[in-house]
Amino acid sequence: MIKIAFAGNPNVGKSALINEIAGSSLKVGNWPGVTVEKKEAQFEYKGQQIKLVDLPGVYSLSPYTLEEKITRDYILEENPDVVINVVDSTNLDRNLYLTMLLKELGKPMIMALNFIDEFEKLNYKLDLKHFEKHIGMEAVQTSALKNRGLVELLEKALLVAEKHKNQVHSKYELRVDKFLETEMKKVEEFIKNSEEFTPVVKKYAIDFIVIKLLEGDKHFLGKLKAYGINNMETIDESIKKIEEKFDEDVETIFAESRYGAVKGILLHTLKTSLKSRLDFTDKVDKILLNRVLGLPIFLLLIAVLMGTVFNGAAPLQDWLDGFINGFIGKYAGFLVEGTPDWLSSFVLDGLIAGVGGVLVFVPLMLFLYFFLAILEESGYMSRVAFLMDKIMRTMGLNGKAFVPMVLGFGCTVPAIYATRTLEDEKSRRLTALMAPFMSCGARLPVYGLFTAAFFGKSAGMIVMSLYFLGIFVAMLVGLTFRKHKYFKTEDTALLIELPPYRIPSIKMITRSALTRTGSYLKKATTVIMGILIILWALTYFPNNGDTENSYMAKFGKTLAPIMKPTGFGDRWEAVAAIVPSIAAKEVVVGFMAQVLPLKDTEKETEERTTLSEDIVDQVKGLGFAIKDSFMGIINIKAIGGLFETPDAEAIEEEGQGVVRAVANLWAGDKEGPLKAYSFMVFILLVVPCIVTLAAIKQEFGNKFMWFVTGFLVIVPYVASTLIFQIGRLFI
Amino acid sequence: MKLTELSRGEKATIVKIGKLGDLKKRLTDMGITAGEIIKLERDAPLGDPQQFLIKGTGIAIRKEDAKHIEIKDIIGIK
Repeated sequence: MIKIAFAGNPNVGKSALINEIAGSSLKVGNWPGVTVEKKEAQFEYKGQQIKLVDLPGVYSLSPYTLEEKITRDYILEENPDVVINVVDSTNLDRNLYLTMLLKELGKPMIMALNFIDEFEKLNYKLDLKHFEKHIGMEAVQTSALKNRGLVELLEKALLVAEKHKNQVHSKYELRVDKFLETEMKKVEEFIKNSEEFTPVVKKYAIDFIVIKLLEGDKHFLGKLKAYGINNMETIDESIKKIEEKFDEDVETIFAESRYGAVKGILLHTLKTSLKSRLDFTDKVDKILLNRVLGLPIFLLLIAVLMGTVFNGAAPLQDWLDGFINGFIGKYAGFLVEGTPDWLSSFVLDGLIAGVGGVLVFVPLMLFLYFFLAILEESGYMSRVAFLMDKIMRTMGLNGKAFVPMVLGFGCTVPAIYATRTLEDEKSRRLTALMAPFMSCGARLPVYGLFTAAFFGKSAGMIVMSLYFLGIFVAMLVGLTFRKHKYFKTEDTALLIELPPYRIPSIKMITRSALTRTGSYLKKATTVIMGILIILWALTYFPNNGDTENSYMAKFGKTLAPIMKPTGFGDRWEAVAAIVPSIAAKEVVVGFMAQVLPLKDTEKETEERTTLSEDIVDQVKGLGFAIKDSFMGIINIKAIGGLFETPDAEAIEEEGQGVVRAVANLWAGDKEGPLKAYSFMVFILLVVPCIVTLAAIKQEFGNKFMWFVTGFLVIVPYVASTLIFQIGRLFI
Repeated sequence: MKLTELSRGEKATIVKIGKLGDLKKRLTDMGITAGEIIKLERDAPLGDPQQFLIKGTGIAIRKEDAKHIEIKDIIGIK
């Protein structure tokens, strides 16, 4: 198998290039142990198995960031057969810096001069022949957008791999100052004559060893310890001499030498015109980053994003829900007819409802990833960081963390996945810890039910206060944890590139949304299904469907005394409702309808329909859903609907008389409204739902998921208790 | 002079990056090295960070970090 690694700066179109070459064989995963996205593809080309690996976009190969460590370690330790260095041809003098660093690793390389279409539009000229000679590798002109040079790139890469099959390291000499060169030679002699270094020299290119030793590269020195090498007096001596002579640290001196070498190469080979690649970007930035208009435009864009994602997905989600629970459920019902009650309940309420619980999120994920990809690929995401940095910094995060927070108001699950846009693992964790406190849409029916039962006309104010309480708690959490070593990012600086705006290709964005959604389905399904089935069993057994005497109810009754300080603990129904609420928050309404004595209502008689009628209905429904979804995307006014609490009437439809039944929970109790409020606060702050937990597990691992779970039980308990105990002083 | 003393639209030559620990290497990796010309494009609407142009690339840097970068020869805009 031929392993080809793609390396390059961020924003050079590396992913688009791989997308075009690999097509549908592209898989998205994570690098082992970290949440940095890993894209890989395997396919057959002319009878050869080929594996493409997309290394994270980096500016350098220093050991300071996770992405750089991954890139460097992959090239050094996994020995790819050839490295394709993707560069932005319109910005060579900066891109070639990484090329120099990559060359130091001594692996077979080839260059992709990407965005060549833009390069030509700018009237730039490159003397390719001499450029290749000076840079020491072949270069292929490519454009993913125009589908140019892709086959040539792959074929030339394979040739380079073939040619270097038996060669361990290619020789590379960075042209440097005479004085520096003498010191480098000294170190090289020392290494070659040292027995300790023999295995190291076999594994790594000699230039690389010399440069890293002189730079005092921590990551590399750590590796040398594994070889038992500690004594490096000769090297320390050289370092001291160099730093004295140049009055600068060695790292910087080497960096400047690399930039110098790049300048030298380009001086004779590249002719630029008066046009700049940033002409268009400058014009757009004048508006989008405008002192006055910048923030309002950003907020408007976020509102549109929320609207399109949630309103666009909602009709499709409703349809899927109806399709699975109504259509599939109905026919599965026929299949299990006559089987024992528990079995049919397991199939219908456990299994099928469980599948539904996972699938219903698919439209949402697709929409989210689609629009996030547009934000990222167009170059606007970096501007978000730029605009919001000052606010998010107070919580120890950078500006990009704002996007997941806002998405949290719609649904916590996409908010968790959106943390992927943050580069730093620790910031990502902190964001994921704060995002669940943004009150999500599924909590609204619960607020609707309880405010209708206890607060009447002031319901709107009460709901609003809950939203603000959520934001307040999130900020408190941010301020508390930002200094903790588990969350405190070493990367405190905001140092980001504001890349040129580029119109992203629909094909690439669609593919990226599809692969990311696919990975959600694969990984989340098992967790979500498992927990939903356990929850089903808890409400079904031991009395076969008698919810009031189920394990869940018993659990509620047992736990009620512990919940006493929160106020609502005097009713076991309220306590018991919290456990199924982690299946999905809106379940609370249905659960209340099941356990509270409702006034008798006639059961609706279902109309008999045939299979063909049902299928026609479903197809029609899908048609309407797609139409509604489209309307939802273009109807900006509908965004307000995201924050609308369902009114009492709509809730009554769910379970007849449930509002009155809930009001009866604390009828005649003058602390009743306070207890109801305390309950709503608990629902606001408690574990949002198991899909969120599955998302957290997928993105951050098991340990962090359990931590979040515990955290999101303690915080609501403390908050509800405080609110109730302080509140009752005033009653 | 410090980089933060630059006004919008002005250019200057970088002299040296001061004590910034690991950040110094990252700035260097992004093209911020001695001798390069740097231009202040704009401040963020909230006043911080600032957007600079260097080596044909827009880069956002916070003021607290920019003040460690020494510059000389400010050229105004006409």
